[in-house]
Amino acid sequence: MPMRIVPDRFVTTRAIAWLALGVLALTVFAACVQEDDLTPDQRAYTLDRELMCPVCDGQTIDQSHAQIAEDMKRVVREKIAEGESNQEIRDYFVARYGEVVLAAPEASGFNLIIWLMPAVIGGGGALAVFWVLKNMRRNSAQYAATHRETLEDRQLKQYLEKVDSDIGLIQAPGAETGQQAGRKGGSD
Amino acid sequence: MTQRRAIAVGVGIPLILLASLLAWGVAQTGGTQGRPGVNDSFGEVSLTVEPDADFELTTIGGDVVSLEQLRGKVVLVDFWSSWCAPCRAEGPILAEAYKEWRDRGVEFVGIAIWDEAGPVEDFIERNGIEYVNGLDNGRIAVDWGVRGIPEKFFVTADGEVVKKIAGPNTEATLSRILEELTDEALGIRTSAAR
Repeated sequence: MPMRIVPDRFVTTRAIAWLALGVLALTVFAACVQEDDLTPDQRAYTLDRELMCPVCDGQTIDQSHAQIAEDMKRVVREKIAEGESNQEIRDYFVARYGEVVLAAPEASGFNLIIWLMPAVIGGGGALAVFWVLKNMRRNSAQYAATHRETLEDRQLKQYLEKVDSDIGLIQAPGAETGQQAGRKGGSD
Repeated sequence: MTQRRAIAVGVGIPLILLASLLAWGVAQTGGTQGRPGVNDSFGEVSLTVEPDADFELTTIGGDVVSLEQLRGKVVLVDFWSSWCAPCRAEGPILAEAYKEWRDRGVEFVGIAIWDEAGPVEDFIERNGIEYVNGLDNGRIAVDWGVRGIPEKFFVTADGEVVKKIAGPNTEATLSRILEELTDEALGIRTSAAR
């Protein structure tokens, strides 16, 4: 059976498509996981990672062993046991310690800038890279075209010289007439 | 647009945006991140609690005290700890101030946080502290948005939390605040303490 040859480009495109599909599926799955699907411990652990320790250097209460972080962890568990939702618990801490208590600020109002900026920066950077690459490609194509033209011209010139030489219109470069050769030999 | 210019735009603008984001983040924290939970310097800070906040504190003696019970008095709520240096320096000042102010309708409540009963009782006894004190059950400090110690909240006779002070008081700063609040309670001056 003859081996099927698949072009590399097709394989790459298919791999990217599968990867994108996988990422999309994971995103959808993550979005579908509701608070109710988690045990109280899982919810507490999730919240611990979403809340910053107010007196620590960039640590969430999950990472910190400061006493205030321990107190906050305890309060998170008490509030879950009291039946409060994750949003209510987050709001409780924001009211006391400000928005900085959230590891990831709420995606609303002015904070939307923080969420959108990476996409804008990434998109802008990608566009710039695309533009530069496109320019480089165009310049390189232009150079190649010019270069090819020159090459063709040179080859044509050589060809015409050869034709002229063959029909005796001009002397081929490097070729010597019999007279010249004899003169040289006589002088030696 | 030349290629060099395109690179400058493509790299420069994202870098400027990232730097702006970083600067904004630093500004947002107000420089408060990284403090180890002890307030060394004195200053008024923004309130982190509802004006009608309350608590139920089990005192060292075993009683339960709340702000509701103290309605009609100006109340100073002090969050402290026996191991915190500024709190230790402030202890004698508070003990003396209470003796002066209790007859003028002011009540002090000490809430020891991140501490244990033994050292707390020892500190109270050594400094002759006569106002009620108790150990936090781990909830009051968070409910009141305490970031470090010492921190004080001042409550009007109407039960409204109006002021939060971080760091240790001197006799003078404490007297000034309590005078403002008691004057207001007596109708001598209104809204001066807010």
